[in-house]
Amino acid sequence: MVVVGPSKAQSLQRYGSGVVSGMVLAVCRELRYLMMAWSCDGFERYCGVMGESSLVPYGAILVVIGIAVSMGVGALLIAHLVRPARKGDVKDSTYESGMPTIGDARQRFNVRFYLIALLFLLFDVEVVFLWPWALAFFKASKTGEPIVTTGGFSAGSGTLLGAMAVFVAFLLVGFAYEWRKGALEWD
Amino acid sequence: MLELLKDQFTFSVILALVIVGILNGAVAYCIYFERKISAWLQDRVGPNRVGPLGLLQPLADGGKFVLKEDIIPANVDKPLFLFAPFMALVLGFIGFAILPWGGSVDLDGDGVVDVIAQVADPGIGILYLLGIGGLAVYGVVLGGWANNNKYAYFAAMRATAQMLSYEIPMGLCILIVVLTAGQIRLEEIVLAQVGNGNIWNICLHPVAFIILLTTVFAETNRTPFDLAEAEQELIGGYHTEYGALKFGMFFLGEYAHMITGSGMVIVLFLGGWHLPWIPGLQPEDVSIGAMLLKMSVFGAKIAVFLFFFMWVRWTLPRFRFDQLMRLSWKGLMPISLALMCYTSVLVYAGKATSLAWCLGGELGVVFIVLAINAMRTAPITGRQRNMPAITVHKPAGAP
Repeated sequence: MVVVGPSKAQSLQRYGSGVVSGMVLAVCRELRYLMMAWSCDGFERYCGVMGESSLVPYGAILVVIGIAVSMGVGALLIAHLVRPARKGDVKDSTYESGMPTIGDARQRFNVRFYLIALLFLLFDVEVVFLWPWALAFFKASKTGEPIVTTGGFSAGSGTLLGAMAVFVAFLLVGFAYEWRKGALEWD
Repeated sequence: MLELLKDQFTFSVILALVIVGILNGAVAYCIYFERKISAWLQDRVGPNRVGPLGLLQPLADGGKFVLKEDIIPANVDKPLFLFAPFMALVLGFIGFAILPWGGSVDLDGDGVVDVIAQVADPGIGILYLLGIGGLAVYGVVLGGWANNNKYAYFAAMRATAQMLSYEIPMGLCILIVVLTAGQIRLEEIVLAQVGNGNIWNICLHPVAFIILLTTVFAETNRTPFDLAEAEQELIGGYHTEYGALKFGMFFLGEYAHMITGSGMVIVLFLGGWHLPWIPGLQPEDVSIGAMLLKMSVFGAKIAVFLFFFMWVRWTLPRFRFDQLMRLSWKGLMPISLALMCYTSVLVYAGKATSLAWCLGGELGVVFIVLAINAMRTAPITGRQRNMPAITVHKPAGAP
């Protein structure tokens, strides 16, 4: 049973654009977390919203990552060394319920997945803005004093609440639009 | 020795090693208990051949995982094929680093707090867990892509859309807790719950708790959200082509992810290591004994959650994909956004920790949703509005 379909090179050529767009999306996602971490950290320095921070916890996290990585590499190595390896054409073919495989698996997929990715980026950027805002807003409400940044900008809790209300209102308009347009329906 | 332990970094490293060890054992026995509890719920016996009560079954399974032939099919993307289970395992095992296991500890009994029983307490707090949870999708997606198998590919697409969609309500629900506590460090969130007259956040925001729990189920790909490995439709889903220890790594990663996810929910809504009114479990108890007691309470809470995960698995049927997406985008997202807005108004009014206001608002939201549902004239069929109506063909002469 020989696998019928384009070779790996052909398949990469054909679906390369899909891979690239997927990678761009992936990078965007990670940038988002960096942005979240950075914006909270920036707020900390900016208006002293959070407690003191140090680099010691990150060292401990690196140790944990080291332990986990060595576990993963160890598992792969042990599996590689201990397992038997008896290759065969049929054994190495793609398993699709015993049917002969037709074509490559990397085919075009439903455009709705792209829509979901776009909507996700939109709403998640919103959540990014809300994180540092939540900390600043809590502090301003609790102390009753306006948050004063190093740039001289000052905002009381009422201003902060109003600003976020406007932001969420814009977002809700967009959400209502996409709901009415049927971007959230699957068929 | 004690002087060495009083250094937070040394203490963290030792704690990390201990917890990784415990976690490995816990994950192995999770699989045993999953099978035993499944058997119990289905009136079967379950594993009972290896050792007394089948207790050595995890060891036998582990041995089998190592000794099985590890097939790498011919047309997979080999680097990614190897990388995906590695990713799943590593990401499953690094999330626990910021869970506050035992509060503050005074090691030598001189009344001064020396260390915190937490591997790391970074300033970004809960964002770390969100980031790790967001990365966890890569194990599944890369696995599905590298397999070059149509089932696995569909599973990867589904898993991406599912995990992305459920991350938004998850973030919003965590934000509700952050707004209530005013902190993003996990230990501080626990202390805020204790400081609020022993009222855990679940009492203030039960709806947010349920939404967060739902999203944790979705993020860990557990039933009823296990569309990425729906065995009836997609064979094994993203791990169709995986065998032996690589499959085992996916398995371990999933259970470790479950443990971390439960830990996160417990810290945010169920008071972490704290139990009200019990001496030894209060923030001012900082002896080593109190630390061990707090750790066991935290572990017991996680065990209850794991049982809940397994119980739900055999209680609820799997969602269909459109139902899954609708639940997230048209259900959880608007509700959690509404709750977030309501909580910020409460924070502004200084009522964020008032039981009556929070609970009243949550019940109000539930009531509004129920009222909207009751006023809808469309029958509840679980079908989308844009699907054609079902026509029932009656045979002639039928009543």
